[in-house]
Amino acid sequence: MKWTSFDKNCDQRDVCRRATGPRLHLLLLLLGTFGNLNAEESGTYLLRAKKIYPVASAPIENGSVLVRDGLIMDVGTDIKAPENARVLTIDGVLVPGFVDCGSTIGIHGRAAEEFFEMTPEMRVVDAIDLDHPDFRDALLSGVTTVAAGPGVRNVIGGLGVVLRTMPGSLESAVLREDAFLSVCLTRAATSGNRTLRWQRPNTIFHRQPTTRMGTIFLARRAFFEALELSGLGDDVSRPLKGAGESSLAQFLTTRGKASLRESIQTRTIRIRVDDKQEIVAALRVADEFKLSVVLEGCLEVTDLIPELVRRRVDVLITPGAHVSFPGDSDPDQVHDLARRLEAAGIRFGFISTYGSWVPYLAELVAIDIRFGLSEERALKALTLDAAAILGIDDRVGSIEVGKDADMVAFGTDPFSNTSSVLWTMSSGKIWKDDTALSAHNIQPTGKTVK
Amino acid sequence: MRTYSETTCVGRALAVLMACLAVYLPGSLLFAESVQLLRNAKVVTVSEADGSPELTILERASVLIRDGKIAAVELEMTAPEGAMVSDLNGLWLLPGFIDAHYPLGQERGGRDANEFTEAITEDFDVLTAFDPWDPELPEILARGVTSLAVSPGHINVIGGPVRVLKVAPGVYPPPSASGLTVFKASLNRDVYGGPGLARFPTSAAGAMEVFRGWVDERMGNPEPEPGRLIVRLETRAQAESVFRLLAGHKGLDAVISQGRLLGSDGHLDADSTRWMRPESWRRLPGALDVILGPLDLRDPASHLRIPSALEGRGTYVAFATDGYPKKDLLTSAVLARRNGLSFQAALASLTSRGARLLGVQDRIGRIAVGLDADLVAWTDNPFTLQGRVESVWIDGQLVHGEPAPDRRRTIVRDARTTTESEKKPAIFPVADDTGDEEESSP
Repeated sequence: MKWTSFDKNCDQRDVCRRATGPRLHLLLLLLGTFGNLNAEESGTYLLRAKKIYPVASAPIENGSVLVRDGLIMDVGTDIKAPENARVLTIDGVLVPGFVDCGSTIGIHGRAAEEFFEMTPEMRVVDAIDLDHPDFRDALLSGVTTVAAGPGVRNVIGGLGVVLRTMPGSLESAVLREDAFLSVCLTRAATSGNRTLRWQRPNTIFHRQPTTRMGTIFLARRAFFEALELSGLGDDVSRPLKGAGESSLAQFLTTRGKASLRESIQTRTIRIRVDDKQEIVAALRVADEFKLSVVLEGCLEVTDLIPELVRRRVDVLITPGAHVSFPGDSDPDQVHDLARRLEAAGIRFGFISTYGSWVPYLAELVAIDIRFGLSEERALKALTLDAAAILGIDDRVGSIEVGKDADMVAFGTDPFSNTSSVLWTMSSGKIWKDDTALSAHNIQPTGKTVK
Repeated sequence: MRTYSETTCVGRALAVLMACLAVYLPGSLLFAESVQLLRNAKVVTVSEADGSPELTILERASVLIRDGKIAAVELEMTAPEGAMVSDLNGLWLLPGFIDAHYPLGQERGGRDANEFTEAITEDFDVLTAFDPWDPELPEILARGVTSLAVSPGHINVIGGPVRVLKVAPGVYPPPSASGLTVFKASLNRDVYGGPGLARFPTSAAGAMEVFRGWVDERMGNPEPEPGRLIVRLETRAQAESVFRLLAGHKGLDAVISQGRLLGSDGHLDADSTRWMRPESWRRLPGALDVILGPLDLRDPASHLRIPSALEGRGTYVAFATDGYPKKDLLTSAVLARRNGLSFQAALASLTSRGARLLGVQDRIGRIAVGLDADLVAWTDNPFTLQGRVESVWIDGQLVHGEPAPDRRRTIVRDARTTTESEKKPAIFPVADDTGDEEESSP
């Protein structure tokens, strides 16, 4: 799969013509040999589309968007093209670039630092490979912003990062470094962990916790340690009772303590919870330490929705969860979770969980739409609400004057399986898949049905 | 059949002792005072004034060697009194190549370079485990390489100091060119523990945390010792992070802030396609130095073009065999040259850049007055791959090839010119018992 950026080197008619692809690619390769894709100036574009969804305001029929230097300069119906502007007429709709709220995108190997149970000082930005193909696929599928987290294997996993999927330097890609702290209270934090009996540790799975009780206790002890509270009595300063000297129980390092304290005071704490008792526990911990929390996962949240409404807690869910995680036939896990959250008025965003799922974000959200989520709300959850939960809604998430020019042009409805991404604009640069077949190029091979 | 008796054991021990003495003596004689004149040579060397390599070719020139150092390089020179004169008869005389990354112990099962127990093995010293009797060393000499940057493997986040050792087979301790303290560090996936290895770290974020902790601690000293890091990387983002981290310590360490402080040791082999991709290399931060290699004909052309692409941005590239036995350092440069690298840049990447990257540019890497006389005489232009190494001098001492001016001081002779009987027992005469018996029985 090839990809290329269209900036200065083509006129507006060429954008949708595939023949220019290889030529541009060659030219870009030559330029790229000496480095700097990012140094290319972002041009001035006037985008005209049949329908524009600014998300922050009502949809605009036959509207236009003016883009200059990577920013949106004007949105409306009657914008005159300035001089030197390239006018692109889109035979379809224009929506803001999608925002994925959580996955392990771009990380090779283990996302969490599994040698320890609690690693509040680990930074996911250190583990990101900006040239990972998942970023490219995500960008070409319309996801312009992603949040990368440390996975679910640690009770306290580390600091997540919010970044663009567009290729570029680390500095230009990262929107928010150390944006949130990931905590996991689900069974994923215990799965595979083994207790030591008489052996010496010979694998990283010899670690705490092995039960849900242990998980929540470790999280609380870490918070106590970081805040230097004494409320937990003796337990603060010694391993779990019964574990004894042979325990591998880990206490926070000085750096870890300082980092966790800073996170409690300044950052969003993102708690991964699936089952009801975990959700309740997370809310209790949040109360206890006065955390600003966002709940992630929430497969069994149905009965607790009123509680979340009361507390105004934001929620991150996996789109099409019952399809994504087959085999879970728990009666508490409902098919129409997104619809219920919408009906209750809870703000939510979507998480892809795995990096390789990010390119299929819109397709998975379409499943939630099938189960009753409104398209408007789905689009909002994918863009503006997600950006707000990540704390970057001043820069991305909607087509508004002054925001970054992150937009996706779709042939038709973005949630339709027969619609394709025409191109993605990120920071005012247009990215397009050169080799993908557009709907027009597919030749019918079977019998024509009339 | 023969059994081991008490006497043969004592005899063995004595012989070993003698052998050790025999080996040690030439080692100390290596630096003995001597004056040599190599004349009628085609001197080819490269120097870098402001980053751009300048080629010097002197036809029918003479090189005067005094006390193991180059004393003069001139077109016409009369031999000083007492000098031993060798006529090179138009041979190409190049500085010895420098293998910029040579992990220890690869040739003996690869077990000796990597200490698995700890992520930081800062105080481990490769010199204590270096094997000057390695049968690979004479072969390395025959490929024109005179210095190796011997380092621990890449299984530790901080592996330990890198030593620039000269290829002097059988000489212990090996002659070295020491300058700056250079540390080997690694952030690639080989440092991770996992289900089969209970060791911290197990992830990229953890590795970076260890690295950052070490750098902070080292630079946090009131008087930080100057040093340089050779970091093996996996992603471009890591390169940027490392670069940013070290730039943040500018005020603390004057030497580290001087110019190009970091070598990133990229590893290109059959596996490299799943590690750093060519486009990543091209987007690396500009001020990084890079150790590359070994390049191979099997590598895709996009990889082989990387050295010339980096050269175009002003990045220093030094070539290395990465300790792979039977890999020819020159091949990497020839392949890079065939894919766009200039002759002088390719030669610099084999010689002066490696020296500069390792902080020993005042000792080795060029044919210039005052530098160590590590010279290689080639029959032809090495880059045509028709050139063959005729003779190698290390510290002015002929260690490979003919003519040997003083056989006692010749540590190793060319395998092609030594006879079978000479070949074997140079180090341990009693290694072959049957041979001993045959000699003493008639």
